[in-house]
Amino acid sequence: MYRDIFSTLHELSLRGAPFAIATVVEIEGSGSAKPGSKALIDGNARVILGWVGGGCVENMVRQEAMESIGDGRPRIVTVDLTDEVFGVGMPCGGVMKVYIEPVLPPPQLVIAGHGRIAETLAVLGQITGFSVTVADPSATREAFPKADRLVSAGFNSAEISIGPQTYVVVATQHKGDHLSIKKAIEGGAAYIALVASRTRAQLVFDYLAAAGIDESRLTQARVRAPAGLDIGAQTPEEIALSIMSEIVLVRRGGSGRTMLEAKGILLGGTASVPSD
Amino acid sequence: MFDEFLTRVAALRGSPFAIAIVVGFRPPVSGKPGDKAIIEANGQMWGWIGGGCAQPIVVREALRAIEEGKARLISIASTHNSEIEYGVINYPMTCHGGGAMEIYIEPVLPVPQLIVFGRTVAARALCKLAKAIGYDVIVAGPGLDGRLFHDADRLIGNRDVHDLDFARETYIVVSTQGEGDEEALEQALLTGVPYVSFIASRRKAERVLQFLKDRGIAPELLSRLKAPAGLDIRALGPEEIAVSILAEIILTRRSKKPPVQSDTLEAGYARPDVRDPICGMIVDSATAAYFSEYRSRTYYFCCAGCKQEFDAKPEAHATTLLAT
Repeated sequence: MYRDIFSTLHELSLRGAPFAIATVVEIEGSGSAKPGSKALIDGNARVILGWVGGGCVENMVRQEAMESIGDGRPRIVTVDLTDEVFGVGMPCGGVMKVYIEPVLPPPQLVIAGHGRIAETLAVLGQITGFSVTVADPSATREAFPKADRLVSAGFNSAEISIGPQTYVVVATQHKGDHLSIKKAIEGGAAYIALVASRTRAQLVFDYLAAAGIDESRLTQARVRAPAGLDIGAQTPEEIALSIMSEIVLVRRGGSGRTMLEAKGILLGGTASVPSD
Repeated sequence: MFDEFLTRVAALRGSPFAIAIVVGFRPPVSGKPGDKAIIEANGQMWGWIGGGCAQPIVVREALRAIEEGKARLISIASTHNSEIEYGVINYPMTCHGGGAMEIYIEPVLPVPQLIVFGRTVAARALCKLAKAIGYDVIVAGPGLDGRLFHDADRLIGNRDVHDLDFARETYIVVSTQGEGDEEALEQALLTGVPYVSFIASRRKAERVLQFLKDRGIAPELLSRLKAPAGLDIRALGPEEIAVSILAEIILTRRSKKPPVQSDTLEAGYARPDVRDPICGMIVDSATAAYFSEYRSRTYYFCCAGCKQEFDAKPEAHATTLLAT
């Protein structure tokens, strides 16, 4: 049984499709499931394996699993087995707690370009849990030993697909960058950054406006140029780190100020504490 | 010649210096294109870039390049083109031979070193990420497992970091999470480096800081502490926390705060709030009649008995000081 669950888990995660794991963690009174009972629920709310109880319990767990896949957060669901509202026939009696955890495919970091910024960013992305794709004709395995995928046909090829879980950094520094940004906007990428001087960035924006991407869409997409948080980064490695910080900020939220300013400590009046 | 030059350059790793290369010339001058020299931060020059008149100029510009961290091109000529060449620094040629030369000067600054106290998962993530952006990483603390920190440049099996080179650009992150927080923070703050941060909740940080304050650590040092560590990017998990901390380090690095004044450091502990390491009593160091020197630090005692006990086994009390 356990073996089945874990080998199925492994298969599912390799497939890259989202799913949720439901585990009964507590049960009072009678119920057909026991603590430790598990079920896997796929992205279409189907129970693909396991058992956490039938009828009302199953429906509730499936529904919560979908929400959990949707918002990416684990949760505990308490099912009152005496409640007739959910009952299908005779209530079993008792209370059951089910822990539901979503398993989502890793977000994609797609880097267009090569060079030191791209190389460092690929490493940082890999460490922080992204599936990293480097799209560039000159990208080599030696330069990007840890990238999940190298696409030599380039960012604008059909091999690169963009979705709401894609984070795009365009660091090509050449003529194709306006096309890359256009593609990223049209694909609805979660984050789009252009590594370029102000002059170059303006040229790209002018092109986008001329290409008929209306301003509201541009504003909504929030193309970031210059890329990265304003931390005074100078070296290519520092620039890559500032971009990674911005990606985390876009993904998670936060003010971008220092934690000390945002939630600083009070020590006998020597440090200031802005309220949360 | 070239091999020897590169060998010299390699040997200087870890200290700042500049390389000067003659890139253009108009005879008669003694420096030829490709002639090069190394200039160390103390102004000492090794190599050859031509005549005596060029040398002081090169040394001067090299020291500026090291100071500002920026490369430059200088032109030494008896007459300069009236058109201003952007970014080129002009000097008059003072050698009687006349002629002209152009010299490119580039600073080579050592990479910053990051000291991480602790063996937590956050410490591991920090070590990995700091290596990814090219920093030298030293991890310090008891119980380190070398396999988990295989990418670190150096591991120190205790908290004693005093033999490290603090003249170098250094950043310290305390990631002990309950394993000797106070001891590690005290060690970290006493180094006087411009950035010390503590990975902890605000509440925990407050408690630990209050403790260190009560121990009499100078307020100038305490006020340097960044706690909680990092930027507010809602970092989730050790890797993202490490990203937010490195971002804060770069921010500190580029805003160039001066290190703590050395006289503050010598005092180390604010007077008169010092604690007797034996009984824990607060004693006035200005008037204390009993004190001992141990490892270049002065310890003060309330009475002869405490001093006697300390002197009998100073290593035990100096290190367990905070545990009491």
